[in-house]
Amino acid sequence: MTDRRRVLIVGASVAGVRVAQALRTRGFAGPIALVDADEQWPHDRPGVSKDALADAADDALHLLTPDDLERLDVSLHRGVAAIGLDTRGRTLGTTAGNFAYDDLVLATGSAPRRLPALEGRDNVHYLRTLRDAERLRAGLDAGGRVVVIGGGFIGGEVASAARRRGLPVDMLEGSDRLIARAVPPPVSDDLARRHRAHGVDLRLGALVADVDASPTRVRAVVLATGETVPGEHFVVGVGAGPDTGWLDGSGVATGNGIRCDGTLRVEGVDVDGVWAVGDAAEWLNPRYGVRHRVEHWTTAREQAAHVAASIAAGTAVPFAAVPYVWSDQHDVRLQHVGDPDLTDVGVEVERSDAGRVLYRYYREGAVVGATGFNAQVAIARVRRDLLAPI
Amino acid sequence: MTLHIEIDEAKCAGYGNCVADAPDVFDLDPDTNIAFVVAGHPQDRKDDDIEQAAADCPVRAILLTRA
Repeated sequence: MTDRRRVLIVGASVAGVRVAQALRTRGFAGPIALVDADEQWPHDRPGVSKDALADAADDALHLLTPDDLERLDVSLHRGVAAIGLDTRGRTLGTTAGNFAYDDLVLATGSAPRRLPALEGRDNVHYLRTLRDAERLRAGLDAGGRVVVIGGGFIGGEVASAARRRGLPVDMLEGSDRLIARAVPPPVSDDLARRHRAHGVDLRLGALVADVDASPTRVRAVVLATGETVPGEHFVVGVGAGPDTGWLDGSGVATGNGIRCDGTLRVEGVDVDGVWAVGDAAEWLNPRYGVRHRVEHWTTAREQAAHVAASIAAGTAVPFAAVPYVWSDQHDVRLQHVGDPDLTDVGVEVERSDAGRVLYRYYREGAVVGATGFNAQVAIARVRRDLLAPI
Repeated sequence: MTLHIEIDEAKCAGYGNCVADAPDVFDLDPDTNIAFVVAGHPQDRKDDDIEQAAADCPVRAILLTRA
């Protein structure tokens, strides 16, 4: 019987926890174990760079309560890191011994890319976990100039939080425009204007070449142009990537992430009953015919629910995703939905009296995506239409 | 057993995940950006999508009760 199978989930962030919940919703009655390298209670990440920088309401970010866990009949193993995988013997090796499974779900997420030149200094921050947020919040509470390295979603949200506290902010973006991989140039320009209007000293094409630092503190970063940018706090948000090193030699195929087929089943040699979800999953998205990783909260949840349904039903069907992401920066909610490749699209902009701005993307006369600034309703409609069965 | 859907308007911030998950049940108010339950939404639909919508709300603004 399907229901006697043991499901083991690696990673207790949004995707991993959602797999466990959705398995139970689908009536799966077998044992479920959840292991996570982190000692912290499972928490949600969108709030780490949003609410958690504003105040200390950290409990609100917990993904579930101990009662929820008991009701779900899921055994949670915190502080347990996966270190090896025997796919033939269906056994996961961890820092707390071996775990046997019938279905294994890899929800190991990603970690911030680090800048070696800044490593090990007390006033350098990365942002991924609640603990990171607490540490940065304490820094911001102390005041002083904030240098944000990287103008992506994390960098933009940190800059907003710092400006809201009235702190001076430098934002250094290496590319010649903001969030260039995600949106066309007019949207990058719009976002840049908003940062500048809120007092962020934004520098584009600003590559960090060197650092002026003591063993414990960074005093300034030096740009490739020779310009020195001093600060009290240095926050690095230059992207994230999955750690797949522990899978070397396991037969699991890895590339930019954990390689999966269209159904989110992990590919490799003698790999069976292994799935991947969330940031680490590099799957063939049939919607766009590309193999990619999507680091969005919503996609992680959708993948998790999809894999849970597949495990519960003993089937595997393709998972098609329309990526959707939001970011709260200054006084706007930025939302982006649609085709991950917008290099060849036409752009139309629509502005309302209420200050809502919608950028719609067209290819061959059809809407393929959109970005909105405080345009929640329009974005929801575009998204609904993109998701509607053709 | 009927499913009662309540939206906590103080929490809702128009993320729109509910509209994506269950487009015939949820929509956003153009004036406020806040979600509402579509009047006369199909009663015979499976509850799965509605439960998914409630679960996918980033601020947990959708409350489901069965009566």
